[in-house]
Amino acid sequence: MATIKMDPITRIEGHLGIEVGVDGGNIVTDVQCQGTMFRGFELIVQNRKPRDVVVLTSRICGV
Amino acid sequence: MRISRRDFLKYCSIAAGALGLTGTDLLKLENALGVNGALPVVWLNGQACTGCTVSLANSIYYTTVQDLLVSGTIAGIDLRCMETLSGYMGDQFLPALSAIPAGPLSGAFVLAVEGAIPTANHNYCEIANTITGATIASPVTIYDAVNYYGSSSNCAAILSIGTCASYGGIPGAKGGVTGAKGVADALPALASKVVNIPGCPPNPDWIVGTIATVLADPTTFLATLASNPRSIVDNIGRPKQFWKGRQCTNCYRFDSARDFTSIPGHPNRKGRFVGAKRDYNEIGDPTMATWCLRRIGCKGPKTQSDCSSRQWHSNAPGHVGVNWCVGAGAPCQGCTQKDFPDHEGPFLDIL
Repeated sequence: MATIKMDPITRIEGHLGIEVGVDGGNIVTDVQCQGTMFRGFELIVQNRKPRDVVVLTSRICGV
Repeated sequence: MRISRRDFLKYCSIAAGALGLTGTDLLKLENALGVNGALPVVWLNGQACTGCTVSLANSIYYTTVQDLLVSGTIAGIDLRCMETLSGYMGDQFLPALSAIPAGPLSGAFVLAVEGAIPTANHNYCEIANTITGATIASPVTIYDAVNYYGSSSNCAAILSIGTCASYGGIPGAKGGVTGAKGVADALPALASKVVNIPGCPPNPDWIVGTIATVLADPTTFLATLASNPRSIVDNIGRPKQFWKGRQCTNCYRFDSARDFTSIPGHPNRKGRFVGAKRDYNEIGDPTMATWCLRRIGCKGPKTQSDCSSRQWHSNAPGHVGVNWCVGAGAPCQGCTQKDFPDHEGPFLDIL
Protein backbone atom coordinates (compact mmCIF):
# COMPACT_ATOMS: atom_id res chain seq x y z
CA MET A 1 0.00 0.00 0.00
CA ALA A 2 1.80 3.08 -1.23
CA THR A 3 0.90 6.69 -0.75
CA ILE A 4 1.50 9.30 -3.40
CA LYS A 5 1.65 12.82 -2.03
CA MET A 6 1.41 15.81 -4.29
CA ASP A 7 1.89 18.99 -2.35
CA PRO A 8 1.93 21.69 -3.59
CA ILE A 9 -0.29 21.41 -6.64
CA THR A 10 0.96 24.14 -8.93
CA ARG A 11 -0.74 26.22 -11.63
CA ILE A 12 -3.80 26.78 -9.47
CA GLU A 13 -5.11 29.61 -7.38
CA GLY A 14 -4.44 29.00 -3.72
CA HIS A 15 -2.91 26.02 -2.03
CA LEU A 16 -3.83 22.36 -2.46
CA GLY A 17 -2.37 19.00 -1.55
CA ILE A 18 -3.55 15.62 -2.76
CA GLU A 19 -2.78 12.27 -1.14
CA VAL A 20 -3.51 9.10 -3.08
CA GLY A 21 -3.39 5.62 -1.55
CA VAL A 22 -2.56 2.86 -4.00
CA ASP A 23 -2.66 -0.86 -3.18
CA GLY A 24 -0.38 -3.59 -4.49
CA GLY A 25 -2.33 -3.99 -7.71
CA ASN A 26 -2.00 -0.28 -8.55
CA ILE A 27 -5.65 0.32 -7.71
CA VAL A 28 -6.46 3.62 -6.05
CA THR A 29 -7.96 2.89 -2.65
CA ASP A 30 -8.06 6.30 -1.01
CA VAL A 31 -7.80 9.92 -2.07
CA GLN A 32 -7.62 12.96 0.14
CA CYS A 33 -7.75 16.55 -1.01
CA GLN A 34 -6.25 18.99 1.42
CA GLY A 35 -7.12 22.64 1.00
CA THR A 36 -4.27 24.20 2.88
CA MET A 37 -5.37 27.80 3.03
CA PHE A 38 -8.20 29.51 4.86
CA ARG A 39 -9.18 33.17 4.84
CA GLY A 40 -12.77 33.30 6.06
CA PHE A 41 -14.68 35.47 3.59
CA GLU A 42 -18.01 34.38 5.08
CA LEU A 43 -16.94 36.04 8.31
CA ILE A 44 -15.36 39.12 6.77
CA VAL A 45 -18.44 40.15 4.77
CA GLN A 46 -20.74 40.17 7.81
CA ASN A 47 -22.02 43.55 9.03
CA ARG A 48 -21.11 45.30 5.79
CA LYS A 49 -23.22 46.97 3.14
CA PRO A 50 -24.39 44.59 0.40
CA ARG A 51 -22.66 46.53 -2.39
CA ASP A 52 -19.38 46.15 -0.52
CA VAL A 53 -19.84 42.39 -0.41
CA VAL A 54 -19.63 42.33 -4.20
CA VAL A 55 -16.26 44.05 -4.05
CA LEU A 56 -14.89 41.84 -1.28
CA THR A 57 -16.00 38.45 -2.58
CA SER A 58 -14.53 39.20 -5.99
CA ARG A 59 -11.16 38.79 -4.26
CA ILE A 60 -11.80 35.16 -3.44
CA CYS A 61 -10.10 34.38 -6.72
CA GLY A 62 -8.13 36.78 -8.87
CA VAL A 63 -7.68 34.56 -11.90
CA MET B 1 1.51 41.40 -28.09
CA ARG B 2 -0.73 38.40 -28.00
CA ILE B 3 0.48 34.90 -27.28
CA SER B 4 -1.69 31.85 -27.68
CA ARG B 5 -2.43 29.73 -24.64
CA ARG B 6 -0.38 26.92 -26.17
CA ASP B 7 2.65 29.12 -26.57
CA PHE B 8 2.24 30.48 -23.07
CA LEU B 9 2.26 26.98 -21.59
CA LYS B 10 5.23 26.09 -23.76
CA TYR B 11 7.12 29.07 -22.40
CA CYS B 12 6.13 28.09 -18.87
CA SER B 13 7.44 24.58 -19.30
CA ILE B 14 10.70 25.87 -20.74
CA ALA B 15 11.22 28.01 -17.68
CA ALA B 16 9.83 25.40 -15.33
CA GLY B 17 11.88 22.65 -16.92
CA ALA B 18 14.85 24.44 -15.48
CA LEU B 19 13.39 23.98 -12.04
CA GLY B 20 13.53 20.19 -12.27
CA LEU B 21 17.11 19.95 -13.42
CA THR B 22 20.02 19.14 -11.17
CA GLY B 23 22.15 21.92 -9.80
CA THR B 24 24.90 21.47 -12.37
CA ASP B 25 22.48 21.46 -15.27
CA LEU B 26 20.81 24.55 -13.92
CA LEU B 27 24.10 26.39 -13.80
CA LYS B 28 24.71 25.48 -17.42
CA LEU B 29 21.24 26.67 -18.38
CA GLU B 30 21.71 29.87 -16.48
CA ASN B 31 24.88 30.62 -18.36
CA ALA B 32 23.17 29.74 -21.62
CA LEU B 33 20.33 32.16 -20.95
CA GLY B 34 22.88 34.86 -20.38
CA VAL B 35 21.13 36.38 -17.44
CA ASN B 36 24.26 38.39 -16.66
CA GLY B 37 24.24 37.62 -12.99
CA ALA B 38 20.81 39.08 -12.40
CA LEU B 39 19.33 38.07 -9.08
CA PRO B 40 16.71 35.34 -9.26
CA VAL B 41 13.28 36.18 -7.92
CA VAL B 42 11.60 33.60 -5.70
CA TRP B 43 7.84 34.06 -5.47
CA LEU B 44 5.88 32.68 -2.53
CA ASN B 45 2.09 32.73 -2.15
CA GLY B 46 0.41 33.26 1.20
CA GLN B 47 -3.30 33.89 1.71
CA ALA B 48 -3.59 35.17 -1.80
CA CYS B 49 -6.19 35.28 -4.53
CA THR B 50 -3.50 35.13 -7.28
CA GLY B 51 -4.78 38.42 -8.69
CA CYS B 52 -1.34 39.94 -8.35
CA THR B 53 0.16 37.10 -10.42
CA VAL B 54 -2.51 37.57 -13.08
CA SER B 55 -1.88 41.31 -13.10
CA LEU B 56 1.85 40.68 -13.55
CA ALA B 57 1.07 38.30 -16.39
CA ASN B 58 -0.71 41.16 -18.15
CA SER B 59 2.41 43.26 -18.12
CA ILE B 60 2.86 45.04 -21.43
CA TYR B 61 4.22 48.51 -20.73
CA TYR B 62 7.71 47.59 -19.51
CA THR B 63 8.02 43.97 -20.58
CA THR B 64 5.77 41.20 -21.81
CA VAL B 65 5.31 38.08 -19.76
CA GLN B 66 6.99 36.08 -22.52
CA ASP B 67 10.20 38.02 -22.04
CA LEU B 68 9.86 37.72 -18.31
CA LEU B 69 9.61 33.93 -18.33
CA VAL B 70 11.81 32.91 -21.24
CA SER B 71 14.70 35.24 -21.76
CA GLY B 72 14.78 36.80 -18.32
CA THR B 73 16.93 39.53 -19.75
CA ILE B 74 14.47 42.41 -19.55
CA ALA B 75 15.86 44.54 -16.75
CA GLY B 76 17.51 41.40 -15.47
CA ILE B 77 14.36 39.80 -14.13
CA ASP B 78 14.85 36.07 -13.65
CA LEU B 79 11.59 34.69 -12.32
CA ARG B 80 13.18 31.50 -11.05
CA CYS B 81 10.57 29.99 -8.81
CA MET B 82 6.86 30.66 -9.00
CA GLU B 83 4.25 28.14 -7.98
CA THR B 84 1.41 29.49 -10.10
CA LEU B 85 3.36 29.32 -13.35
CA SER B 86 5.53 26.28 -12.75
CA GLY B 87 5.35 23.37 -15.15
CA TYR B 88 6.15 20.96 -12.34
CA MET B 89 4.21 20.20 -9.18
CA GLY B 90 4.65 18.52 -5.84
CA ASP B 91 8.00 16.89 -5.23
CA GLN B 92 9.31 17.97 -8.62
CA PHE B 93 8.62 21.61 -7.89
CA LEU B 94 10.11 21.69 -4.40
CA PRO B 95 13.77 21.34 -5.44
CA ALA B 96 13.49 24.88 -6.78
CA LEU B 97 12.81 26.07 -3.25
CA SER B 98 15.37 23.88 -1.53
CA ALA B 99 18.07 24.98 -3.98
CA ILE B 100 17.74 28.51 -2.64
CA PRO B 101 19.42 29.87 -0.56
CA ALA B 102 21.82 27.01 0.09
CA GLY B 103 22.93 24.54 -2.54
CA PRO B 104 24.23 24.74 -6.08
CA LEU B 105 22.28 27.93 -6.70
CA SER B 106 23.36 29.56 -3.48
CA GLY B 107 23.73 33.23 -3.88
CA ALA B 108 21.75 36.37 -3.51
CA PHE B 109 18.07 36.30 -4.43
CA VAL B 110 15.03 38.50 -4.07
CA LEU B 111 11.97 37.17 -2.27
CA ALA B 112 8.57 38.23 -3.57
CA VAL B 113 5.56 37.48 -1.38
CA GLU B 114 1.98 37.57 -2.64
CA GLY B 115 -0.87 37.26 -0.17
CA ALA B 116 -1.20 37.85 3.55
CA ILE B 117 0.44 35.89 6.35
CA PRO B 118 -1.86 34.51 9.09
CA THR B 119 -0.70 35.27 12.61
CA ALA B 120 -3.57 33.93 14.72
CA ASN B 121 -2.58 30.41 13.74
CA HIS B 122 0.18 29.80 11.24
CA ASN B 123 -1.53 26.66 9.95
CA TYR B 124 -4.21 28.76 8.25
CA CYS B 125 -1.87 28.78 5.28
CA GLU B 126 0.50 25.94 4.45
CA ILE B 127 2.51 25.82 1.26
CA ALA B 128 4.10 22.37 1.29
CA ASN B 129 4.61 19.27 3.39
CA THR B 130 8.40 19.41 3.66
CA ILE B 131 11.14 21.18 1.75
CA THR B 132 14.26 19.03 1.58
CA GLY B 133 17.34 20.82 2.73
CA ALA B 134 15.45 23.63 4.39
CA THR B 135 15.15 23.46 8.17
CA ILE B 136 11.47 24.29 8.38
CA ALA B 137 9.00 22.35 10.50
CA SER B 138 6.54 20.17 8.62
CA PRO B 139 4.00 21.10 7.33
CA VAL B 140 5.63 24.21 5.93
CA THR B 141 3.55 27.27 6.72
CA ILE B 142 3.86 30.52 4.79
CA TYR B 143 4.92 32.23 8.03
CA ASP B 144 7.84 29.86 8.50
CA ALA B 145 8.78 29.87 4.83
CA VAL B 146 8.92 33.67 4.56
CA ASN B 147 10.77 33.79 7.86
CA TYR B 148 13.30 31.19 6.69
CA TYR B 149 13.97 32.59 3.24
CA GLY B 150 13.61 36.22 4.25
CA SER B 151 16.03 36.10 7.14
CA SER B 152 18.68 34.33 5.08
CA SER B 153 21.66 36.56 4.47
CA ASN B 154 21.32 35.73 0.77
CA CYS B 155 17.94 37.42 0.58
CA ALA B 156 18.66 40.84 -0.88
CA ALA B 157 15.17 42.29 -0.48
CA ILE B 158 11.61 41.24 0.24
CA LEU B 159 8.96 42.61 -2.10
CA SER B 160 5.44 42.51 -0.72
CA ILE B 161 3.31 42.29 -3.84
CA GLY B 162 -0.22 43.51 -3.40
CA THR B 163 -2.13 45.05 -0.51
CA CYS B 164 -2.51 41.65 1.21
CA ALA B 165 1.24 41.10 1.49
CA SER B 166 1.85 44.76 2.25
CA TYR B 167 -0.74 45.51 4.91
CA GLY B 168 -3.01 42.47 5.32
CA GLY B 169 -5.59 43.54 2.78
CA ILE B 170 -8.93 41.79 2.52
CA PRO B 171 -8.02 38.62 4.47
CA GLY B 172 -6.97 40.94 7.27
CA ALA B 173 -10.19 42.92 7.25
CA LYS B 174 -12.48 43.21 10.25
CA GLY B 175 -14.42 40.02 10.88
CA GLY B 176 -11.60 37.74 9.81
CA VAL B 177 -10.24 35.27 12.36
CA THR B 178 -6.89 34.37 10.82
CA GLY B 179 -5.05 37.49 11.96
CA ALA B 180 -3.82 38.06 8.42
CA LYS B 181 -1.10 40.69 8.25
CA GLY B 182 1.40 42.01 5.78
CA VAL B 183 4.96 40.73 5.73
CA ALA B 184 6.42 43.71 7.57
CA ASP B 185 3.77 43.47 10.30
CA ALA B 186 3.78 39.68 10.70
CA LEU B 187 7.58 39.46 10.74
CA PRO B 188 8.88 42.75 12.16
CA ALA B 189 12.43 41.42 12.24
CA LEU B 190 12.41 41.45 8.43
CA ALA B 191 10.74 44.85 8.07
CA SER B 192 13.99 46.60 7.16
CA LYS B 193 14.26 44.55 3.95
CA VAL B 194 10.62 44.96 2.91
CA VAL B 195 9.38 47.11 0.04
CA ASN B 196 5.61 47.32 -0.29
CA ILE B 197 3.95 47.32 -3.70
CA PRO B 198 0.28 47.57 -2.72
CA GLY B 199 -2.78 47.50 -4.93
CA CYS B 200 -5.66 45.14 -5.28
CA PRO B 201 -4.24 44.10 -7.64
CA PRO B 202 -1.20 46.28 -8.27
CA ASN B 203 -0.67 47.62 -11.75
CA PRO B 204 1.83 45.31 -13.49
CA ASP B 205 4.02 48.34 -14.17
CA TRP B 206 4.45 48.91 -10.44
CA ILE B 207 5.56 45.30 -9.90
CA VAL B 208 7.89 45.09 -12.89
CA GLY B 209 9.24 48.59 -12.38
CA THR B 210 10.02 48.02 -8.71
CA ILE B 211 11.64 44.64 -9.33
CA ALA B 212 13.75 46.23 -12.04
CA THR B 213 14.77 49.10 -9.78
CA VAL B 214 15.75 46.72 -6.98
CA LEU B 215 17.62 44.35 -9.27
CA ALA B 216 19.50 47.13 -11.04
CA ASP B 217 21.59 47.66 -7.92
CA PRO B 218 20.30 45.70 -4.93
CA THR B 219 23.16 46.62 -2.59
CA THR B 220 22.72 50.34 -3.05
CA PHE B 221 18.96 50.02 -2.93
CA LEU B 222 19.02 48.19 0.37
CA ALA B 223 21.61 50.55 1.82
CA THR B 224 19.48 53.55 0.89
CA LEU B 225 16.43 51.79 2.32
CA ALA B 226 18.25 51.51 5.63
CA SER B 227 19.95 54.88 5.79
CA ASN B 228 17.60 57.24 3.96
CA PRO B 229 14.31 55.42 3.30
CA ARG B 230 12.26 58.56 2.64
CA SER B 231 14.28 59.20 -0.51
CA ILE B 232 12.97 56.07 -2.25
CA VAL B 233 9.87 54.94 -0.35
CA ASP B 234 7.08 56.84 1.34
CA ASN B 235 6.12 56.56 5.00
CA ILE B 236 4.39 53.19 4.55
CA GLY B 237 7.04 51.63 2.39
CA ARG B 238 5.71 52.23 -1.12
CA PRO B 239 8.26 53.17 -3.81
CA LYS B 240 8.08 56.89 -4.54
CA GLN B 241 8.67 56.11 -8.20
CA PHE B 242 4.98 55.17 -8.46
CA TRP B 243 3.40 56.62 -5.35
CA LYS B 244 3.54 60.37 -5.46
CA GLY B 245 0.57 62.65 -5.39
CA ARG B 246 -3.04 61.78 -4.87
CA GLN B 247 -5.28 60.60 -7.71
CA CYS B 248 -7.04 63.95 -8.16
CA THR B 249 -3.79 65.54 -9.32
CA ASN B 250 -3.99 64.03 -12.81
CA CYS B 251 -7.63 63.04 -12.95
CA TYR B 252 -9.42 64.39 -16.00
CA ARG B 253 -12.62 64.73 -13.98
CA PHE B 254 -11.08 67.04 -11.41
CA ASP B 255 -12.02 70.23 -13.20
CA SER B 256 -15.70 69.29 -13.02
CA ALA B 257 -15.53 69.37 -9.25
CA ARG B 258 -14.56 72.96 -9.03
CA ASP B 259 -17.06 75.64 -8.23
CA PHE B 260 -16.66 78.44 -10.76
CA THR B 261 -19.67 80.53 -9.75
CA SER B 262 -17.69 83.23 -8.09
CA ILE B 263 -14.67 83.25 -10.41
CA PRO B 264 -15.01 85.85 -13.19
CA GLY B 265 -14.21 84.77 -16.70
CA HIS B 266 -15.23 81.15 -16.11
CA PRO B 267 -18.49 79.40 -16.91
CA ASN B 268 -21.00 80.23 -14.26
CA ARG B 269 -21.52 76.82 -12.72
CA LYS B 270 -21.07 74.93 -9.53
CA GLY B 271 -19.19 71.67 -9.26
CA ARG B 272 -20.58 68.77 -11.27
CA PHE B 273 -20.81 65.47 -9.43
CA VAL B 274 -22.19 62.10 -10.46
CA GLY B 275 -24.72 60.97 -7.90
CA ALA B 276 -25.38 64.46 -6.55
CA LYS B 277 -29.09 63.62 -6.55
CA ARG B 278 -28.36 60.48 -4.50
CA ASP B 279 -29.33 58.31 -7.46
CA TYR B 280 -26.93 55.40 -7.98
CA ASN B 281 -28.43 54.88 -11.44
CA GLU B 282 -26.33 57.84 -12.52
CA ILE B 283 -23.25 55.65 -12.35
CA GLY B 284 -22.15 55.08 -15.93
CA ASP B 285 -24.38 57.80 -17.36
CA PRO B 286 -22.58 58.89 -20.53
CA THR B 287 -23.75 62.50 -20.23
CA MET B 288 -21.77 62.69 -16.99
CA ALA B 289 -18.63 61.17 -18.44
CA THR B 290 -16.36 63.95 -17.20
CA TRP B 291 -18.01 64.69 -13.89
CA CYS B 292 -16.31 64.16 -10.56
CA LEU B 293 -17.16 60.87 -8.77
CA ARG B 294 -16.71 62.15 -5.27
CA ARG B 295 -20.41 61.90 -4.41
CA ILE B 296 -20.52 58.19 -5.22
CA GLY B 297 -17.64 57.45 -2.95
CA CYS B 298 -14.47 58.04 -4.92
CA LYS B 299 -11.53 57.71 -2.53
CA GLY B 300 -9.22 59.44 -5.03
CA PRO B 301 -8.72 62.51 -2.82
CA LYS B 302 -6.85 60.46 -0.26
CA THR B 303 -5.37 57.70 -2.42
CA GLN B 304 -1.85 58.04 -3.65
CA SER B 305 -1.03 56.12 -6.79
CA ASP B 306 -0.52 57.03 -10.40
CA CYS B 307 -3.59 55.32 -11.82
CA SER B 308 -4.87 58.67 -13.07
CA SER B 309 -1.85 59.17 -15.31
CA ARG B 310 -0.54 55.66 -16.03
CA GLN B 311 -3.99 54.07 -16.26
CA TRP B 312 -4.50 50.35 -16.84
CA HIS B 313 -4.29 47.74 -19.56
CA SER B 314 -1.69 49.23 -21.78
CA ASN B 315 -1.91 47.53 -25.17
CA ALA B 316 1.55 48.36 -26.49
CA PRO B 317 4.95 48.74 -24.88
CA GLY B 318 5.44 52.27 -23.61
CA HIS B 319 1.81 53.12 -24.25
CA VAL B 320 -0.48 54.62 -21.62
CA GLY B 321 -3.28 52.36 -20.46
CA VAL B 322 -6.60 52.21 -22.28
CA ASN B 323 -8.73 52.96 -19.24
CA TRP B 324 -8.86 53.00 -15.45
CA CYS B 325 -11.50 52.69 -12.70
CA VAL B 326 -12.51 56.34 -12.65
CA GLY B 327 -12.33 56.57 -16.42
CA ALA B 328 -14.84 53.74 -16.58
CA GLY B 329 -17.16 55.58 -14.21
CA ALA B 330 -16.42 53.53 -11.10
CA PRO B 331 -15.28 55.37 -7.96
CA CYS B 332 -11.74 54.76 -6.76
CA GLN B 333 -11.75 52.21 -3.91
CA GLY B 334 -8.42 53.24 -2.47
CA CYS B 335 -7.00 49.76 -2.93
CA THR B 336 -3.38 50.86 -2.50
CA GLN B 337 -3.92 52.32 0.93
CA LYS B 338 -2.79 50.78 4.20
CA ASP B 339 -6.31 50.54 5.62
CA PHE B 340 -7.97 48.93 2.61
CA PRO B 341 -10.71 47.75 2.82
CA ASP B 342 -11.96 48.66 6.28
CA HIS B 343 -11.47 52.40 6.19
CA GLU B 344 -11.89 52.70 2.46
CA GLY B 345 -15.32 51.17 2.65
CA PRO B 346 -18.24 51.35 2.44
CA PHE B 347 -17.06 51.84 -1.10
CA LEU B 348 -20.02 53.87 -2.33
CA ASP B 349 -20.15 56.14 0.68
CA ILE B 350 -18.81 59.66 0.35
CA LEU B 351 -15.29 60.09 1.61
